[in-house]
Amino acid sequence: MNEKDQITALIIEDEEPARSIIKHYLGKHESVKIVGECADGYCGLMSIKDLNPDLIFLDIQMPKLTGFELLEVLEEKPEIIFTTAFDEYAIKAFDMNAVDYLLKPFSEKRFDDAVEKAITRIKTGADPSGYIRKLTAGGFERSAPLNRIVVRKGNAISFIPVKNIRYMQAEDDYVMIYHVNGKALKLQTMKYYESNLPVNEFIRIHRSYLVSIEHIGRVEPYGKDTYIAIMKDGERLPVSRSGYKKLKERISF
Amino acid sequence: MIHPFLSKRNRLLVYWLIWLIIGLGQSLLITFSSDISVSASFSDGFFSAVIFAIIAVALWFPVNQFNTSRNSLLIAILNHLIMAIIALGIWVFLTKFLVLTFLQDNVAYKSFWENSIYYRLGAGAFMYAVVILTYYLMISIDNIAEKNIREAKLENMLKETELMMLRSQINPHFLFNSLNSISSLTISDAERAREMVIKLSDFMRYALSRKDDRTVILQTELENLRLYLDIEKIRFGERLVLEENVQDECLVVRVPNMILQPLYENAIKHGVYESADVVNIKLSAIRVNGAINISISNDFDPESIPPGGTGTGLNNVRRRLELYYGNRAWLKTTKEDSVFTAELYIPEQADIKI
Repeated sequence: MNEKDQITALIIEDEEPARSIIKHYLGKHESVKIVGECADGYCGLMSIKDLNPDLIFLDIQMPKLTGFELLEVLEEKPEIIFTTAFDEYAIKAFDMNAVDYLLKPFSEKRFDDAVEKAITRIKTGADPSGYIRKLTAGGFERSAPLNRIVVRKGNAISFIPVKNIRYMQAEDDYVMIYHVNGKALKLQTMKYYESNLPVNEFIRIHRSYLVSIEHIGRVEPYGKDTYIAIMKDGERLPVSRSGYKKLKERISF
Repeated sequence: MIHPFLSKRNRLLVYWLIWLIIGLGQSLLITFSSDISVSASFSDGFFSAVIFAIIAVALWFPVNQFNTSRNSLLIAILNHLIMAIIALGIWVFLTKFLVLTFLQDNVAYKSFWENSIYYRLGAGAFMYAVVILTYYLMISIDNIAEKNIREAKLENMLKETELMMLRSQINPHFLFNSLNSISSLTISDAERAREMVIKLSDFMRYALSRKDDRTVILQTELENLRLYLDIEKIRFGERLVLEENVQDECLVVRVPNMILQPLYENAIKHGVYESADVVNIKLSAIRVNGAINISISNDFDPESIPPGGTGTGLNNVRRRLELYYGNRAWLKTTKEDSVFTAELYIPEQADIKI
C-alpha cells in the first residue's frame, strides 16, 4: 500500500499490556500506520499536535490529563476510538452521542469493526468535531463531581482547582471562570458546570452566574424585588428572584 | 407467652410459699378475732388459700387470651367482671364445702361463715385484682424484653449487612483492566497470562469469600494482598515499586480481611494514576503495646489535583474499623512533603465478633 494513502494512528493508553493488544490487532490492518504511543494524557495532547494523526485510540482514566480533559482542550479534530474498562459516566456519554468505543477487554472482531467504521469516516471526510464538542459538554452527571478544570494556553496546560473558583459567568457559547488567580474562558455550558461542580458548594444565583457559596460576602436588596450578591472581594453580582430563593435555603444572612 | 409460674420450678415454689403465708395469716387472724376453734380457723385458712392459689394459676390462661386478642377497654373490663364473679363463686363454694366436709358439720363454723361472707368476698376481689395485675405486669416485662432482643437482633443484622457491603468493594475498573491485560498477555506471553489468571482468581476468591470468620491473621491478608499487587505490577510495570517491612511478630495478629487492599488501591490511584513517574509504595507494620500499627505510604505530586473522586475507599475502611472495634481502632492519613501516609491502628485482642 502506498505510504501516503495510509491512515495514521496514535495510541494514548497508560497501561503497557493495553497498548500492546491494540498494536497487535492493528498489525493486521495494512491501511493503518501507528505513528506514536503515549502513556498519559499530556503526552497524548502534545503528540496529536506534533503528529496530527487521523485516528486516536483514547483511554479515559490516565495520569496527568484524563481522556475527557484532553478532549476539552483539543484543537485538532482526529477521529477517536475510546477505550475504557469501566466508567458508567463515559459509557452513557458515548451511547448518547453515538460515538464508537471499546470496552476492555475487547475481541478482535469488535476492534476490527470499530477501525473499519473509523476508516470509512476518515475517507469520506466526516468531521468529528461535532461529537467531540457534545461529549465534553454533556448535560448528564458525572460519576463523581469535578475537582479540577483543565485550561490550555498554547502548549501549556494548567488546572484550576474547583476550590479556587469564585464564580462563573455565561458568555454566549462560553463560560468565563473567575478564580482566585485570575480568569479563564472555556467553551462549555453553564448547565454542565451546574450539574457537575459539587452541588453543596455552588449556587446558580442568576441565569448567567454560578457562584461559590464560600466566596459570597453578603446579599443586599437592590431595588424592588431584586437583590445583589457582594463577593468577599467586593465584586457585585446580580441575583435573580429564583436565585434569591435558592440562596435563602442554603445560607443565612 | 408460657405460664409465668408453672414454667419455672423455683417460681412455682415462691408462688406456693406466698400462698402458704397468706393462708397462715388468715388462720391466725381468724383464731384471734373469732370464737371458733383453732382447728376450724386453720382449716378455713388452709383451704381458702390453696383453692385460691389453684384458681389464680388457672386465671393466667384467660388473661393471656384477653391480652393477645386486642379488645376495647370496655370489653376487657366486662370480661374481668364476669371472670371475677365466676372465680369468686367457685372459690367460696369450694372452700365452704371442703372445710365443712373436713370439720364434719361444725355449727359454730357455719354461723362464722355466715358472718364473714362479705369480708371474704372483699378479700377475694382484692386478691383477684392483685393476681390479674401481676399477670399484666409480667406480660409487659416480657414484651419489653422480647422487643429488646428483637432490636438487638435487627441491629446485628444491619451491622452484618453493612459490613458485607463495605467489604467486597473491588473496583470493577481493576477487574476489567486486569482482564484486558490478560487478554493482551495471551498473545505475547501465554505463560504469564496463565499465571495472572490464577492470581486474579485466587485474589477474587479471597475478596469475595463469605466465610463467617471475617478476621484473618496479618500473614494471610498480606499473602492475598501480594496477589493483588502482582496483578497491578503487570498492569503498571516499572512504574510501581513496592517495599515491605513487617515485623515477624505482627504476622499472627488478626485483622479484618481485605482491610489493606483499599489503602493500596488509594495509593495506586493517587500515586500511579496522577503521575507518569515511578511511584514507591511502602508498607510497614510494628507491634505497639497491645496493638499493631500498619502504615502504607506512597509518593505523590503535591502540585497535582486529582481529577475528582468520592473518597469511598478510605471511608469504607474507617466505617469497617468502627463496626468491628468501636473507637479502639483508627485510620489516620497524613500528607507530608510529597509523601501520603495512611496509618492503621488495630487492637490485638479485641472482641471482634459482632
